[in-house]
Amino acid sequence: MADLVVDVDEAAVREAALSRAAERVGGTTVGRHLGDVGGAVPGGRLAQAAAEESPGREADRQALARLLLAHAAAARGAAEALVTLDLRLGR
Amino acid sequence: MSTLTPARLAAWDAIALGTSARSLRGEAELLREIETVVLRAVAAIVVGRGLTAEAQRRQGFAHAILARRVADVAELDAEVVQAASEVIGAALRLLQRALRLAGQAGLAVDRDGRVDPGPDPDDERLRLADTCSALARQALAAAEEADADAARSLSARDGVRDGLALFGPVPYRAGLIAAAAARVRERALPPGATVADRTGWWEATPAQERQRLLSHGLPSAEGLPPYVRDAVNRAQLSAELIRVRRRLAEAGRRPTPAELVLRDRLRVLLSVQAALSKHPDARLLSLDVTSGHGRAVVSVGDLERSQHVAVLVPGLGGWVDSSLGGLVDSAQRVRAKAEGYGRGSVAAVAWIGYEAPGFHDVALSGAAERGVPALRATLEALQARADTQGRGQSVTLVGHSYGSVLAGLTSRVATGIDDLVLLGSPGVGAHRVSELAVPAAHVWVGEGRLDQVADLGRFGADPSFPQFGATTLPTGSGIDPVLGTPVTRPFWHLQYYAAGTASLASVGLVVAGRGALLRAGPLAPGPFPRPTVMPGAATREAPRRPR
Repeated sequence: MADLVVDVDEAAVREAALSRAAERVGGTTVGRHLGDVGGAVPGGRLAQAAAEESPGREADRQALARLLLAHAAAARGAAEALVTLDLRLGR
Repeated sequence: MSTLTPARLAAWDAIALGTSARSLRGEAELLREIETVVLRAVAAIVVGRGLTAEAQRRQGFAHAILARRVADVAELDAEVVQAASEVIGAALRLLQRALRLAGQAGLAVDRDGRVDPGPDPDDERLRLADTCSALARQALAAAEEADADAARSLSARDGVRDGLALFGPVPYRAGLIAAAAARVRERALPPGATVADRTGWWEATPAQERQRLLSHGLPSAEGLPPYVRDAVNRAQLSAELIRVRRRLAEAGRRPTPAELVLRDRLRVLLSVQAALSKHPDARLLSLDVTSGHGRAVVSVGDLERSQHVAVLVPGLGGWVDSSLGGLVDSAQRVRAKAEGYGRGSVAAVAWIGYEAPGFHDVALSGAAERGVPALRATLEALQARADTQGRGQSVTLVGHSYGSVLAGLTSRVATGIDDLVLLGSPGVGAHRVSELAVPAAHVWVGEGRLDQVADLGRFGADPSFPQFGATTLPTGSGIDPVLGTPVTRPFWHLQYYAAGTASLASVGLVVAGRGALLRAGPLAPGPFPRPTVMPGAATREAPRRPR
């Protein structure tokens, strides 16, 4: 039983950490900064490459944020399941 | 995409690029923190057991790696943009200078960067138009190249997006960026900059700016401090090793000619790496793996502060992959020997800054003639740095075998060397010592008893002949005049730098500024065992397989 209680706590902490991480990644603007590069060198090859690449960088960032959110949700699910089990066991 | 014009370049904003670079770097730092957060979260699953915990642990590691890769890409993007901003900034300054000069004289810069001096120009106007033209065209070429390099680097599809390849190769584009930045910084120096110009330019650069230049690539040209050149060349060495290994890893079973060249290049790089690993105080002063058998110049000892410096030049087959390790060992022996004579600190340079000949062209002087400018630049750089710091430093140039041909040709004009030592020399392109810009008393000629190369006299007169007028470097068995220890005579062509030989002792004495002890004639005789040869002690000159 003691193990289960610890597991619940750990899962909850993990969920909180990963949710915050996902939020921070979601708030970054790698793609926008790369997009800004184009404005500094109008008409150049770098501007063209930056315009082509920035959506990809943005997609990477969003993918990472989504994965972290999913991971946080899994941790939350594990925590909830353990709490339910805990209640059923009459604690 | 049309060619860059002055008007379009003038509209570019290097400062805004720098701001974007800083923002990207900030994002990269944040993403690195995320990696740490995820790893900590994964590490917290310590008590969890069963399939769920295991799956979450595995998933957590994968997410941490992904976060790192997104951060890597953001950081590399930042580097690309930063390098472009610096280069474009330098190009803009050049262009502004050209426009200002042209404007003051009422001249116009056309869309190609050319300046028309107008009808019937006088000499001064012609010269001004040429100067403005050169500056503007240089600025356009630099900016265009930086723009193209940066675009290529950004688009390199080896980042995260290649299938979110979690365990694929780490994205690496820094070498490309550094090379681009270095090329243009080279241009940012005054056109036709001399060694002294470079020395002065570096000395005048503020410390903070130097640090920035170092972290983003810099021409490792003669005249800059050894530690700067070492840092830049080592970075280049690492970048090249990664690049070549990656390209070879992607190669098929049947190598293409380009891949065979890459294999040769890898061998050169590994030889340099091995030589540097063996000698902790070594400095990689120059590195070029793109031409011929490659070039590498390595110093041992404190080149900047030593009172004496020896520069060792190898001969036949003196290529980086086959000879650099042995030559650096020899340089270390010469340095230690000379320092043991108690006349101050000594540094030595293993100089493979030219394409040494193979058997097919060793009888011709072409390889030596082509090497003269590079060797002269090295010697002038030593002088310029010593002058800049107001310190005295004696320099001894030591040419072995065909290397003595190059040393001799280089010494036909003043290069600031104090002594010239010729070992096993087949000639120096001169018939008399007076043809060299070094006093006869400081031109030393040594040869082993059975060294037939030393008697060839293929390039001018045999310098060991009395008519040549040089000073004999004692190489016969005897007693070391300072240490009182026995030294043995080198027999063969490859034994001059071997430990325990009279030739090594004599070279050490000359390097240490104690050559006067050798002018009395042969070393004092002593009871000696028969000469010994230390395996691998001499510079290896085994010819490499033909390419």
